[in-house]
Amino acid sequence: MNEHKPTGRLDALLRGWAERRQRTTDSDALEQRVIAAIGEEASRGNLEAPRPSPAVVDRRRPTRYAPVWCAVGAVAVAVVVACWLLIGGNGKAPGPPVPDKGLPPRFAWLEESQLGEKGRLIRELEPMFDHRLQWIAETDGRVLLEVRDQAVDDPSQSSVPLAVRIVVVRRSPHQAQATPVWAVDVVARQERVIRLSSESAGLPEDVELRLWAYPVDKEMVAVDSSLSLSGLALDSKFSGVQKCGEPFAVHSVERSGVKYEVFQTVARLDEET
Amino acid sequence: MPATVQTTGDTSRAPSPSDEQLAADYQRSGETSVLEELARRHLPRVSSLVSQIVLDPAAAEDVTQEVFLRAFRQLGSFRGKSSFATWLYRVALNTAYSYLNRRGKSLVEYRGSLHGPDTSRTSPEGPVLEAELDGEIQAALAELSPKLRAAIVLTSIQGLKAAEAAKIEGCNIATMYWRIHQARKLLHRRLEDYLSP
Repeated sequence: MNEHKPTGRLDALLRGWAERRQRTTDSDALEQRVIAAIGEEASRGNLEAPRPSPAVVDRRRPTRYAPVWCAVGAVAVAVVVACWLLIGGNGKAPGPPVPDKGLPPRFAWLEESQLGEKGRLIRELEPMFDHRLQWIAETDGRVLLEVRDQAVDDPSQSSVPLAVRIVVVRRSPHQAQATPVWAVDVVARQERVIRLSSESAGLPEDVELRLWAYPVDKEMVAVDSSLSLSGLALDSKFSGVQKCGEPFAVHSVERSGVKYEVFQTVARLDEET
Repeated sequence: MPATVQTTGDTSRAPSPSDEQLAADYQRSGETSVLEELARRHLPRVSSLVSQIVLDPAAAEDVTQEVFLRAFRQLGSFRGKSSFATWLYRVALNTAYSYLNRRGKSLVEYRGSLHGPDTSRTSPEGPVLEAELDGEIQAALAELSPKLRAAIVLTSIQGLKAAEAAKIEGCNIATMYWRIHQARKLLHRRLEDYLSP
């Protein structure tokens, strides 16, 4: 990893703090402790068992089989192209009804009336819970709240409440319209870390959701999201900036002809909404 | 603290194997000594990173231990797409976030002593002023969200470039730039008295 030392006064202050802090750490004792823990864990058989084939590719080693793989790859591409021409590309094969490709399903949108309700909801609940409310989520017909022991940091006016809707849809070959499989609406102020799992929330599905969002400006919101639905073997991860109010397909996977898509919509809940 | 990975061992003989080679060796052989070597190489940096995110020295030691156990338990998921160090620091950050989440809040109180034994060695102003400064810096960092704190720690203290920090966080570079910008803005506001010339 490359070293890059910023040189501002703030950086100097922070590095000075870190160095003084490091001096108070007993590194030798910590090393002994960690090494001992590794030994104990290994003796219990809890560490990753050796794999039959190396998982790590040493890219510096010459790849003896590279030409063979190239040939196999070329054949595979040819087969895929041929299949496409025979089955789908000629336009003659009987096909399923064309789904509403390119258009997010209606239920992925956050409507104005819904945004108004969500904005009112968070503004009413926050004082009710003495500003200890971390987030509100609605899924599977249930409303879930996370309430902290103490007031949540920074409940200032500059902290914008946001609504995020995540919808998983299924498109099968014989269905023109997508059908919803799972959905959640989350309402929280910016930069709250939202972690929702079946275990913590007692949800029937095996779900794990992590979410963090911040409005970059009036139009765009930075979002980090991760959704895992074990039942569907679906893992969706998104980290980027998306436009307010527009559903965005963050993940897509196809199995046995059935396509699963994850749509994510984010909106600001400013006072006027 | 150096940002490059420091290797240990007798350098007069063959060069030390890379982290990636060691990880592959362990996956082939299952030799625990290989994991110990990896831990020794990365312990200083991982422990300082964790400590700067968690901001609680006692908890930081527990979390540091958890980082290595968690990483070695899932070493099979390391595919060599990024460097081992990047992968390990990602595990470190995620473990620190999990700890902060378990604890239920990201705000921590300053627990340092105003009369710590080492504070007088480098401070011309004396130990009390330096301890006060350290307390203010720690409080300011504690007020940042964990993601913003990690952004400033990775770049300003650990000395990584924004692109490398983004790789570790698993976010895109624009998001990392934004986090760094926000964190610096908030810290400047909070530490204004100490930043004026």
